[in-house]
Amino acid sequence: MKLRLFAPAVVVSLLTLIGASCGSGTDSASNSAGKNQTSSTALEATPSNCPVQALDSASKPVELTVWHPYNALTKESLEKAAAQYNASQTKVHVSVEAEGTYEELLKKYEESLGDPSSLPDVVFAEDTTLQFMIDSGSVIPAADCIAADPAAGQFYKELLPAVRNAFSSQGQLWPGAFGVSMPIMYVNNAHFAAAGLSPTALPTTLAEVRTAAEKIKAAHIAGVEFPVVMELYGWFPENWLTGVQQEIVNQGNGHDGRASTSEMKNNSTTEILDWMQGMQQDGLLKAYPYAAGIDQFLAMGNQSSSILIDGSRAITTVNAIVQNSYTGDAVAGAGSVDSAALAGLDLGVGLVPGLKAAGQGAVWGSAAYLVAGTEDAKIAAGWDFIKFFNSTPVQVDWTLQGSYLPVSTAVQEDPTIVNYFANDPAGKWLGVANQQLLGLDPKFPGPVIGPYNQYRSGIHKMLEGVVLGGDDPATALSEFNKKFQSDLDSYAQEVAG
Amino acid sequence: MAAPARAQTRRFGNKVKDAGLAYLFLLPALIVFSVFSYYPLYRLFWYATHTQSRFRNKPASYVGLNQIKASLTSNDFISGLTHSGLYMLYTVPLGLLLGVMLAVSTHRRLKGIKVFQTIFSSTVASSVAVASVVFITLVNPEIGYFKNVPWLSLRNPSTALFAVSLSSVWQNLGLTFIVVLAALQTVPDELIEAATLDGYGAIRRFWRITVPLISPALLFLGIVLVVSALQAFAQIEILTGGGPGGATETLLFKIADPRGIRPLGVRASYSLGLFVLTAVVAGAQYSIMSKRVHYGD
Amino acid sequence: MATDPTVSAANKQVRLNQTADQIVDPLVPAPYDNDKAVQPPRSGFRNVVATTTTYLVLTALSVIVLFPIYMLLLRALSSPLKYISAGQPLYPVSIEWDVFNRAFGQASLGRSMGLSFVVTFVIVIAQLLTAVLAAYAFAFLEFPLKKLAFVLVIGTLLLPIEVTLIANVEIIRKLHLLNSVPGLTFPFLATAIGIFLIRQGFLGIPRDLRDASELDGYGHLRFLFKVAMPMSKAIIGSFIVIAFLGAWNQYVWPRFATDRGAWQTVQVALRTIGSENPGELNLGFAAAIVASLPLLALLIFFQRQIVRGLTAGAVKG
Repeated sequence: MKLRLFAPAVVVSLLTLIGASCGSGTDSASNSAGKNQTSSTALEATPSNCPVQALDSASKPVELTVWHPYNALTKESLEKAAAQYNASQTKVHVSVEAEGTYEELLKKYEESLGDPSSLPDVVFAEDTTLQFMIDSGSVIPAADCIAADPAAGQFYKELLPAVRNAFSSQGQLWPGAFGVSMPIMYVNNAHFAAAGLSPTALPTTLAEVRTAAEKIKAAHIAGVEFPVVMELYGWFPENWLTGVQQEIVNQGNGHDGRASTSEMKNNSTTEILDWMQGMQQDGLLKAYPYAAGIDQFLAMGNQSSSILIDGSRAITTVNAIVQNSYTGDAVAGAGSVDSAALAGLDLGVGLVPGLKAAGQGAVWGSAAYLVAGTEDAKIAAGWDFIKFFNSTPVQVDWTLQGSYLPVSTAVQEDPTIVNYFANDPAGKWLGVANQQLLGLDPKFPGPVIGPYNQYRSGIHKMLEGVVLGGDDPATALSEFNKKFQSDLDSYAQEVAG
Repeated sequence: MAAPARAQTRRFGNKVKDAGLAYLFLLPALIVFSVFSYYPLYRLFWYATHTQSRFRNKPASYVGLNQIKASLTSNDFISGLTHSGLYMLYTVPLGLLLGVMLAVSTHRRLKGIKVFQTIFSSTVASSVAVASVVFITLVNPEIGYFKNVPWLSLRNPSTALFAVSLSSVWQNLGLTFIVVLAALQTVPDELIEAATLDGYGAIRRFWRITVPLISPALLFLGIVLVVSALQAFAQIEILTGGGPGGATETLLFKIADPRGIRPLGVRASYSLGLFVLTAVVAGAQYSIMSKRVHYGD
Repeated sequence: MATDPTVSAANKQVRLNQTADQIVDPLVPAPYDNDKAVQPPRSGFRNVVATTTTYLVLTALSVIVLFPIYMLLLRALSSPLKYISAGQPLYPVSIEWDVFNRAFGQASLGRSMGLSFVVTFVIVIAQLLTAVLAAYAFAFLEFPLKKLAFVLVIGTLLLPIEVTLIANVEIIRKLHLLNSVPGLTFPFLATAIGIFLIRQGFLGIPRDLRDASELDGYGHLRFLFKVAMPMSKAIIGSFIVIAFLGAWNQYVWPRFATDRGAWQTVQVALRTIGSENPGELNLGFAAAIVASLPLLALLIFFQRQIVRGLTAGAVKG
């Protein structure tokens, strides 16, 4: 009886082991590799890659699939744009699909590469997927479409240089539409006043944040547990490093060619780790492990914290909760939040503090890529949708509801937007983030990394270990750097095929 | 009743005549097993002996056993194994103990005992996902009722796994209760009465008579709980997402890789490791149970 | 002398009625037979003290077991932000009675529940069919390679879906069955445990009944449907209930066999319902309650079957 159980396991295992090892065999057809990535001069555009005229000869409506990682109001804004597009013409019918978080979207996209018929036609992906998108050979650079469709060029001429450079590699712009946000600092004005801090002279450096936190703690304000709260999200250290022009990878932070070496092991990174660990251990900071959640907002909402560093994209949601206006008007059946629970919550917003100065950092967010499918009509349709998305009315709503920052001067100067930044409670906050965007140095954009998911996973592990687990920063950084470098090496091998 | 010997062949027990029907009857199940159990095992070996670039439109290349060897000796795998092992350690002894406690306490004739029995078996109606959501209300760092209890903190890498495992312990209460209670009910009254008459105290009765007699059920439960610990995934994804700092990433979590950070070949190697682990557990179960089949008659 | 078929059929029916009650799988105990319970002490005062203590202990244990469920209910009904700012008390704060409505409306709970039901039914029916047929072959038929077939069935116990997960996902993907009912159900259309359970039931049918029906000219199919299955009603019933439990509660496979919101079963949907907006946390808790209702119903109405199914193999009768 005993043998009976082991027999099948052993027999089956042996057979399959022998069978699998005896042959290699390829699993899928190979496809073209990404563009040559060694020169550092701007590449020429290839208009023929982007058949923008194909839509004219389409005989029946083209079905367009768009993948995105958005939720809440941002998702609603995109869905609204899609509905408007469908209503405005009959040649294309676009359907918009939410694919979870940024990572889940990337994972799904990676897996669909093996079966190109399951790829979407347009995909909104997170900013640092740029290198992966290029190397996948599955998307058409916007530069090619702009060259093929000069009429569309106006939007791109007015594109903020900082945005253009953030999403360019070797001088070529790859994604065609953008959702740009910045990290921002939310403060509880009442707590600041109680601690004797000026609500108009907010902290500008990490050191000043610490001083403010110490004062708040010393003031023993009722209900405040930890003066500062933030999520341990890789985005923040990247912003701080870019803000002091510290490269994260070589090759011009990945913009002059495919990055192959990690530059993460440097004094600024150590400074960041030391600061975070010190704040946490001295009871000044409540750091949350990265989970794409809302815990940090809850901490501000129930006033157990006074300072929050997070993204500008949450501004509309946070404000709506505070103003008791989040009834989700655009969405039927959404619940409303009673603001009595948040009585006395007086939030202000300031430029994000940096290592040396406030308001420094990188353009972050997401961007839309046009997928190089097999049907020319779909490519043309995708480009057409992107153009519609970039039209000023849609972009205005993208800012008003989606909380993304206006990326072209046309939208920046639109009266609705100007008024919004000047007078609307949420708009004033977003206006601060907008100032930050306008103040960025276009010549030093954020990093472009190939093995993006691995890199972020490594950063999160390092941050959680150092901040929550008390690991030694120098050791943790060394380990992270080693792993990151090996991920970069593996990535280079993967691209080589 | 003696049946007259029949001249024609018997319908039951006729190897040749039955064969066609038998194969027909077995076909559906065997097809399912071949396609979704055995073929995947072959595929796992295939994936583990090849590397596939993340750019799936590029071909895979053969690397032999190196990838398996490297994966199974990596820190990542060992930490996954450790976390799975710890999960077992946290859930199995506690689960058995609580199950026995609850069963013993309701194994008596009292008015309304059935109400308590229903209450104690109620968690069998909860799925892993439901149990995890339930525990969000208890241990979530911002909104959990016990969020300030230090040894239940989901933000501390050394306590997070334990806090997550409690959701499994709670969920398993129903199952362990039902099985142990049923086992208790098979202990013959006469033995207990005889022991009482012989002057055995309650505790001695329990350890000397009851426990040995219910030990097959306890062993069975133990194996079930061990296997269920190996399959822990939902509670980790829902409660911690694998954090903090990877402290709650069990082996299966690393295999499932919801964030897409491990290559397919590595995950396949880990799956083969899990296969071996499952086989060992199943083997242990089988050898223990087959001994027990002849025990106590 | 051949017996009149009608008479023998009638006799058969009588015997069926008699023996069905007597057929008890030796491995499945009668649940909750309190006649075998321990007797409380007899003397008066000690009796009262002991009984009261027992009730107190039992109540305390019940509170501990039920506390998490109470919290779930509490948090489902209370307005999330108000509850938090009230300091998270043990009583509801600002009850929102429409939370269940909103869960169905906003979070498409109805759609995911419906999908779960469909998937569960398909799996249970398929497992029953394949198990009954295979069990019949193992229990009543002789054929070449019988031992090998049995080994192959046992072998699948070493290959649960957790082990074969990534390979099966790739298979389903290649078949273009991601996000579909076939994709959600195919790997589970047959199960070794079902085959074993039902085979056990079949093996419990007395030999002379088999001989008698054979004498009366029963073919295999007729024997299966008219004798074997009715006599194994108890075990089959238990298996159906346990299979339902397992299929309804699945998380890992539905999680990775689908990647679109519309195709989430209710267990997978629980992960994300209510997590986007701090003001809507209670939707997730309400959804968890709704997701448990079918099983609670099973527990109440089919308690015997559940107990039988869970204890099969564990306890000797």
